[in-house]
Amino acid sequence: MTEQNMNREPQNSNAQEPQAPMALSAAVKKIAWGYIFLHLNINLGTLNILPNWICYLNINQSLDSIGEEVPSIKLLRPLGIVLGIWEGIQWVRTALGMGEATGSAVYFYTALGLLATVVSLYFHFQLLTDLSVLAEQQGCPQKGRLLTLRTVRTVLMTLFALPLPWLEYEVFVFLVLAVQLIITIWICSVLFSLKNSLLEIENGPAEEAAESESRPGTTYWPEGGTVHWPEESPCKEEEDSVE
Amino acid sequence: MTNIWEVLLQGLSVTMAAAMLLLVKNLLADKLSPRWQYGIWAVLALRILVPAGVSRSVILPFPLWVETWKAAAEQSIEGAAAAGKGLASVYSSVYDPIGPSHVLPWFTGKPASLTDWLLVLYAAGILLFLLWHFAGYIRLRLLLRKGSVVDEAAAKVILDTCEKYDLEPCQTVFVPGLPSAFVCGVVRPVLALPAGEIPDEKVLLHELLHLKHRDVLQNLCWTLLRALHWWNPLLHLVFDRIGNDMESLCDQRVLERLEGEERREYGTILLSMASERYARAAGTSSISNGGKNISRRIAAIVRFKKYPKGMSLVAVCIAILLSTPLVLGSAIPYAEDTFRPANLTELDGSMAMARLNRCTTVAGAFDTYAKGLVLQNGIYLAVASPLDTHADLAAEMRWTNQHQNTIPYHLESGEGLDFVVSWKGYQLFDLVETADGGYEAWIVVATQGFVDEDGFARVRDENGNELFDCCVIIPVKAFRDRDGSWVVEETGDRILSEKWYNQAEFQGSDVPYRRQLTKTGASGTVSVSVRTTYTVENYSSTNNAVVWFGSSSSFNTTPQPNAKFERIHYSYQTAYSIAGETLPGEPKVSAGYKMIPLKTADQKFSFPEDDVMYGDISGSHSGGELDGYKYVNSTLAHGKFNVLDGEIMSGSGSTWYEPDKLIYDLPEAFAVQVFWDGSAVETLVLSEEDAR
Repeated sequence: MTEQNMNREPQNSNAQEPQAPMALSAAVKKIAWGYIFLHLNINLGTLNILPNWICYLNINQSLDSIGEEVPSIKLLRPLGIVLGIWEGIQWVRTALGMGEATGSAVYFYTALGLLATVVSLYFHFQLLTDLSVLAEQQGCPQKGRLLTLRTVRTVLMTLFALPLPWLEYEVFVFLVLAVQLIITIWICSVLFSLKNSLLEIENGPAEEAAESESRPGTTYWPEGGTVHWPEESPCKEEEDSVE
Repeated sequence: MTNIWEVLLQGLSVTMAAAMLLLVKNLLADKLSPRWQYGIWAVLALRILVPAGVSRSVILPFPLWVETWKAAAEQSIEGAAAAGKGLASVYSSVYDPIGPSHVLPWFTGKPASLTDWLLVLYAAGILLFLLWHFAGYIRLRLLLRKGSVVDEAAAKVILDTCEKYDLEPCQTVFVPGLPSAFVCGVVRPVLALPAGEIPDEKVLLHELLHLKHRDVLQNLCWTLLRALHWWNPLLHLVFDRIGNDMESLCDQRVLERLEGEERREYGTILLSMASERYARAAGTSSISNGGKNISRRIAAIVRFKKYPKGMSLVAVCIAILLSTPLVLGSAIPYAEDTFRPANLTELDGSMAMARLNRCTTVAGAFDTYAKGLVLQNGIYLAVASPLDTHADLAAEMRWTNQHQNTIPYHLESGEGLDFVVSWKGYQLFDLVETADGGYEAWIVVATQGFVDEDGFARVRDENGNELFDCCVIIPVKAFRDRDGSWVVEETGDRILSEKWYNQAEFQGSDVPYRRQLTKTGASGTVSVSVRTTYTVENYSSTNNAVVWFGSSSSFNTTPQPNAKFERIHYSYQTAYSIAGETLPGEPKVSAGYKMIPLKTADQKFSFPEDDVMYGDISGSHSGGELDGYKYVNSTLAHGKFNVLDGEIMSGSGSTWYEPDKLIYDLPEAFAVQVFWDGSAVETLVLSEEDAR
């Protein structure tokens, strides 16, 4: 055993190590799945088995990882909590068949609904903006698409939130549904594409290292500084003698 | 605003808008820049300048609440006045709905009651508030007059600063005893500096940016708006916050022009002013605005570079989203139970709602009035009745509730409607426009019988036959009330008809036709009767999970004050009759006719080439019957035709769905071709000359 090895810290330490942050690709994947929960609903009776609040749960869980690269995204955490609670309340009310609020509760929900609409508009705008910054920083090609998606989504959501007669005419109903479907597919495709790009980047150095390890005679210096010679190496006898 | 209630309504609406804006600002405090944080107050400014509507509310139903409070207060004032204690209001009354048309106080006469004098007090408050601020401004200008011209060193610093940051200088004076610099004046602004000090470049930059962006003028405008709400302590806090946001925005502009260490120095300068006194004054702006506000500004400075970038689009979208409900308001979602008060106290609120929730369309007025009759609901009737009748309606409902123990909104619907079949709804016939811009029509309601002269329920006709399906025909007229809404009144005696409700459309004897043309020719007498039927969408079908076949529909008993007609149907009922032996000849086997409507009496026409079918004659001429087949507009219809005093009738018509107007042109004439035994014997054209 060499001096270096003796001085090396044991691998299984009793001290707790901080949890490694989620990989960026995993974080983006979580966000992408969150948008699927947000835009798609599958109802079993009154129970939506793809509740919207899971979207905000997923996004909040991803903020720390992405926040390492794009700090401003962490500003979204309190808003994500607010929106998650709001969606959770709606989900529970619907599941219990409570229907629309009546009496004076109508006004309370009107005010909350307005706040939720405004906060949601900002939340998704900044989220997509920050993901585009992430894409740019990581050298991924999705930056432009994310910005376009963000702009289109924001403008359309603003239009749909205005008190225009969207649901009074059949043609508008179909238009709104079609647009929302297109946006859902668009968001998911762009985010999963970003996730794949990030995954390629993350897996890139590991693949190179794996390649070099499989070639005989290649020296690979791990962090500990100890040299490991492949089994067939003519230097193995020398390694044994050194140890 | 012509009475204190409108002032209250406007104040509440503005306060709610301000509260919502504060909530949103707090949620997005560290996310949207000071530029947005100040700019969003433009929504509040708009809200202050737009009169609060009574048909639309800002989040809460303030119009309904204020109208209810007004009714209660003015009722007690009017009651006291009637008893000789005091005077009734000149500016408002119980049954005049509030409806501010502008945001400034306006007097329509000499004040009489307490509520009138409150309006006077409000107006006086505005004047005093403005005078107080004007006096403060004059004091400042006098103080500046005592100031001295800045020395050379200070002047050089000022000019260098202007040149460095591309800003325009203004007159500058040293004023002894001044705690901090400020800019005063809109037309001829003056920069006031503490005497004896060489001004710091960053302080000058701050004040010159105030000058450049006309913050003093904005401050003056905010003061004027503040004066309109001098009585509202919550809005005073809001206006203070607006001033602070303006300073934060100026800090932002300063920081955008400074670099690196200069920004930290700027924060240090602000910190040094935290303990200084300051006073808000109209027509001025100052770098120092109090210790607590400065700490908030320093926190914003720390966040200067941390605001997310590229937020312009969403900032604008958020402003648009907030403007719509806060400035324009939203339709008040009156609950269904508002139309059905549970007690006399709630009756006041329901009557208030009836004054605010008026009918905006002719269809809505007829629909609401008819449902009021069918359901014997006085609130429904109030919604569709002139405001001048509301006092009587309310009094009648109170009386029946107190003396007959009925529900508070019950109102006797009058003659003939004791046994109304409410689930059948109503029909509306023959809408005609009148010379004064109103519309007359017939409302038909189904009943199961009538109360006779002795007060007993009569459910049999004179032949002793039991009556199951009768109807009451009511002549009505819709016209615009003094508030511009559509209202309905009855214009004549009700007709109690023993004819079937479902057949009322064809019962010309009871419900006069819209138009009836009759002509006698060589082959008999032909008449065409025109009926127009107007329908509001009131039936909703429900799929019954228990019943496997078909679905059921139900009549919607909720009034629709803004309804439009779902369809207008013009029906033409043609009748051809032979008066027996009076004619030179008669058909042997069959008789029939064809009928087509004509746009004009002299229009060229041709009948469709459809075969006339033959039927067998049976019996004698004196009592036999012919099977008569007739084609009407290519539609085959079959009826029994008695040779002597026989009559064939059939109907056809035109329907407009989702009509874009109330009255469509009727055909001016009708052409009828009579057939005997398969051959055309005569063609008659019926026109206006033949009208009955």
